[in-house]
Amino acid sequence: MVAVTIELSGGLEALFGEQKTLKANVPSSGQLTASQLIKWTRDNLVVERADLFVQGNSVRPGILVLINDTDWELCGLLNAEIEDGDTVVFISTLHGG
Amino acid sequence: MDGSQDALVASLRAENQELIRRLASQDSAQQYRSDSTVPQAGLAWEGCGLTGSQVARYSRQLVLPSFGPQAQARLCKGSVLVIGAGGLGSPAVLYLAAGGVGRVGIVDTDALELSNLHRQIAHQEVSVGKHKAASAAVSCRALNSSIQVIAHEQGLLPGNALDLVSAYDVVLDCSDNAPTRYLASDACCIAAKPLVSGAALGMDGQLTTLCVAPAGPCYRCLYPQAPALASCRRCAEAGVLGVAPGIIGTLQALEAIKLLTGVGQPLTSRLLLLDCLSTGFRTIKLRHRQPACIACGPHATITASNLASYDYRAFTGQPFNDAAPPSISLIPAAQRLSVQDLASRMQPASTRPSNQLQPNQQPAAFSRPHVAEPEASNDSMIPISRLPSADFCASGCVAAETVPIGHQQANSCNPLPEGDEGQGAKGFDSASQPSGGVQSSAGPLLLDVRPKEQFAAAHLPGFVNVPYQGPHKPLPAFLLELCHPSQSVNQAPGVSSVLPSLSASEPDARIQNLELGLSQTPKPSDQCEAAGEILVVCRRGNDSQEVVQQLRSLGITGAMDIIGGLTAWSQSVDPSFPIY
Repeated sequence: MVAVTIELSGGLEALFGEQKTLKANVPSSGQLTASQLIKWTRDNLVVERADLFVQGNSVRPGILVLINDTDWELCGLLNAEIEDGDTVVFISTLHGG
Repeated sequence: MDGSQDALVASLRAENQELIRRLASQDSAQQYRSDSTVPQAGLAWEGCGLTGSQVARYSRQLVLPSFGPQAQARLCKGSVLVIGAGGLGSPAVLYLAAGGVGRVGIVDTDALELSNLHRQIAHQEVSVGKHKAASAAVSCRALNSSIQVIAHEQGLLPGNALDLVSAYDVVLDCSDNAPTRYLASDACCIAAKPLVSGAALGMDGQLTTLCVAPAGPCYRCLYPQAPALASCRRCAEAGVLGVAPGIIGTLQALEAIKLLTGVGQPLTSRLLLLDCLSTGFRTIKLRHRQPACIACGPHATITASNLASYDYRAFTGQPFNDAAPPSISLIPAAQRLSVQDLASRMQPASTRPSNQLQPNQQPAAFSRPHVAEPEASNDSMIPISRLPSADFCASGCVAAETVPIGHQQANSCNPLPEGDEGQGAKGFDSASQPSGGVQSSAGPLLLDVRPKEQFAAAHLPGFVNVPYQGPHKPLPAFLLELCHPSQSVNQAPGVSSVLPSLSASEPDARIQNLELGLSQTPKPSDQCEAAGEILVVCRRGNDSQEVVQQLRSLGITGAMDIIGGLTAWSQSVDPSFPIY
C-alpha cells in the first residue's frame, strides 16, 4: 500500500463528491506509477462523470497533474513514481474571467 | 408617474451624471496632464526622465527602494495590452493606469450587463448596455489623464491578434474563453511578447506568466490539447465571487509591472493557485517550453503567415465568448408550451393563500405524513404522495427534515387515512414549500429544474424545485412518483429501476397507498388530462426539454416543456421576474 494525499482544484472536486482533499492507501505490488494511480483514482474515488477525469490512459486534456507541487511533466508523466507520503494534485484549468 | 416617465427620468439622470463626470475629467486633465511649470533659465532641475507631475504623482513608488524612479520611468514608457475588460481586466487596467503605464490597450467586444458590476469594477452603473472596452477606457482616463488609453472594440481575432499584441510590450490574458486563450498565446509566441494569463471562477483563481524567453512555456506547452466543452464552466452558470477575479486581475497587473520594469522575478514556469475559501495561495512548479510545441517550439507550425487562418473554434469546439449556450430544440413542438400558456394555467396570485413560509421555517406538517382535509384545497401542507424528499429542496427555504417518501412508506405505524390520501393524490400543486402556495387541486404539476440556488433566489409560486443533474444522472425517484403516482411502480417499465427509495420489502404498502389515493379521488373527465399535465421550467428552456424527454421516455406523457424558460417568462409575461 502506498499512502497518497490526493487534492482537487479548479472545479475538479465536483467529480469527487465536492471533496478537495482525499487520503488514500493505494494497493501496489512494487512501484506505484502515476498511470496506475490515475486508474485507481478513477475506479475508486471518482463519484461521477469519470470521462471528465480520464481520457484513454491519462487525465483529460485541460487537467494538470502535480506531484509534490511539481508538474508531472518534470517527473516522468505517466511513468512518474509515486512514493509513500506523496501529494498528488489534479487541477482543472479555469477559463473564466 | 408611469413607467415611461420613470425611465425617462432615470435616463436623464444617467446622462447628467455622465456629463458631470466628463466635465470633471476634462478639468482634471487640464490640471494634471502636462507640466505647467516652466523651468526658469539656469535653474532647470534634472532627473531620470520623469516630468515634474510624474514625480509628484508616482512619488510613493519613486521612494520605494526596490522600485525607484528608474523603474517608474520604464513603466511610463511602457505599454500593456489587456485582453478582456471583465472581472480580471477591470482591476488590471485600473492598476496599470493608476501606476503610470504609458499606454494601456483594452480589448473587449461585449456590452456591459448589470450582472457584471459585482466584479467588473472598472465600469459604472451608467455604462450598463455600453461597450466594455470603451467603458473601461473612460474609467482609466478618469483615473489618469496623463497616459494613453486605447479601446479595441473589435476584440481579439485571428486576423488582428498579431498586429495588436505586436503593438504592446506586455499582454494580459483576462479573457473568459478557451479560443481567445489559445489565440492570445499563439500571437504572443510569434510576436515574442510575455503573456500574463489569469483565470478565475467560483472561489478559485489561477495565474501564470507565459511566453517569457528563453525557456518559459506558452499556453499550448501546458495544454497541447483543448479541454472538452463540458470541462469549461462559465461564470453565468457556475458563479464567481467578485473578489476572486479581483485578486487574480490585480496580480496580473503586478506581473505586468514587474515585466515592464525588470523588477522581481516573473511567474514563469510556475502556476499560482488561489483558493478563496481557505484564503490560500499556493505556487507550483510547471514544465518549461516544450520542444514539440507547435506554437513556440523550434519547429512551430503556427506562424505569422498562417495565424489569421487558424480555426480556433474548430480546435476548441467553442466560440470566442462565454455567451449562454444557444437554444436547443430537442423535443417536438407538441410537447412544448409558451410562457403565456403557463400563465393561463397558473392561478392569479390574488387567489392564492397568504400563508407564506419564511426561510428555515418548518411547517409542522412536514415532520410527519400530512393529512389534508378534503375541503382544504388551499392548505399549504403537502400531500404525502407529492411530498418532495429533503435532498432537492433549497436550503433556507424548505423543510429541512422532510421525510423522504421511502421512509414514509416504511412507517407502518402512521398509515394515511384513505379519504385524506385521496385528497392528497390530486392536490399535488401544493408542493412549493417556499411560497406555500396551493392552486386548484386539478391544475398541472409545476416543476422547476434549475439548481437550488437559482430557485431560492427567485421562482414562481406553486413550483417544486427538482434540480436537473444532467443526462448522466437518473431522475430522482420521488420525481417520478410525483409525476406518475398511479403507474410509477407497476406499469412503467423503466421507472422501478430508478426508485432507490423503495425498499423491496415494502412495495405492497406503497402501492396500496398510491392506489388508495387514486381510488378515492373523484376525477371528472374534463379534469383528467389537466391533472396529468406536468409543466417543466428552467432558466432558458434547454434543460427543461431534456427533463421532458426523459420523463416521456419513462411513460410520463403529460410532461410539457415551457419554451424559453423563466427568461422568456420575464420577457413576455412578467418583467419583474429577474433575468440573471
